[in-house]
Amino acid sequence: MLALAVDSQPAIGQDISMFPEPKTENTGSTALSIFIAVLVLLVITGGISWFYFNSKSSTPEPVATTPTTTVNDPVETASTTVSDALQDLDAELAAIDSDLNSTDDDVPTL
Amino acid sequence: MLVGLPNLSYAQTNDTTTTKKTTDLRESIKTKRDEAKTSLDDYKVAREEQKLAKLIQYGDKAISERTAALTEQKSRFSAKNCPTVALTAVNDAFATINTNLVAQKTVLDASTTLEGAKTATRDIFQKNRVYKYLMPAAKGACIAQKLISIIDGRLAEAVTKLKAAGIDTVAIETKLTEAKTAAQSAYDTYLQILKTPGGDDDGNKTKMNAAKTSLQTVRKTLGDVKSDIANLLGTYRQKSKNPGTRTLDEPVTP
Repeated sequence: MLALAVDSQPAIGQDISMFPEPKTENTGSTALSIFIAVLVLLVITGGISWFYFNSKSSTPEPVATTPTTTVNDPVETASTTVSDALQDLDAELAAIDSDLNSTDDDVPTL
Repeated sequence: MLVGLPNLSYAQTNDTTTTKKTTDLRESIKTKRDEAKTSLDDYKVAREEQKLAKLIQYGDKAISERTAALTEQKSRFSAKNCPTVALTAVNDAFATINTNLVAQKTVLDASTTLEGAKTATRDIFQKNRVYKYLMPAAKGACIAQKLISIIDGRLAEAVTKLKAAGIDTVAIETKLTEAKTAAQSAYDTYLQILKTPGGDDDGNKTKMNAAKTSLQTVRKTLGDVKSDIANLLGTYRQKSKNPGTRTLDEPVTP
């Protein structure tokens, strides 16, 4: 018993630590957490990228729409202008015919 | 969308509009017209010694009524419905007629015989065809010049844009030239009538018919142009999908 008690005493020059060494099991848990966090981050980034590129590819090419707008506008305006002009012309032709049949310039019997 | 109202709808609307415009003009000078009519009735039943005075009175009322009609009609023309060049010609023509009427009133009022007063009264109508030639010629000149402005303006602009897009516009340009020539012909003829709206009924009637024929040519040609524009638009849309050379003569699949 005495010998055992003596053996349990630290030897001269041996450090006496007041704090226990960190357990090796905790280090593995942290690495796993980091791994999972990175994985989640990759999934989120991938999802965002997928939505971004997917929505962008469905948008019509600006090269195709720009000339359509540029040309259609003046052409459609011209078409409307012609329609309005024809309507005015029809009205004036009818008014002119009506004037030509007027009797207001006939000399009354004097 | 290149959708226009059917021609039948145009015709119905225009008939109503025309009748309303004509009625409005006469309604607006109704007092003057009634006064002239009453004065004419007074002359017809007047005793022989009062005939000269009553006829002069009637002639003055007739001049007053026609002057009012000119003023009313003139107020209906503006830069909005009549391009400047035509508006100037119309205003000049109306001013000339007004001057003529003032001069004829002087002659009428100075008449000393019944026959002299009758001649002066007839001149008020025969030398100043206000309703029959002056007003329709003014309307015709304005619409003809308006059409020329449209052809040289928006339609020319549309052709330029189509050309820039690589579309063949030769056919539509030919029709626009034809329409402009016809519109110019109508305008020139109406100008001749505006300068001498009285004193040559047969000549003015022939001119009015010729100008009307020219405007009908414009009507038909611009109707074709409208169809061509619809066709061009279809061509352009198809060309945007499937690049390649197309012309107006090629049918466009809907």
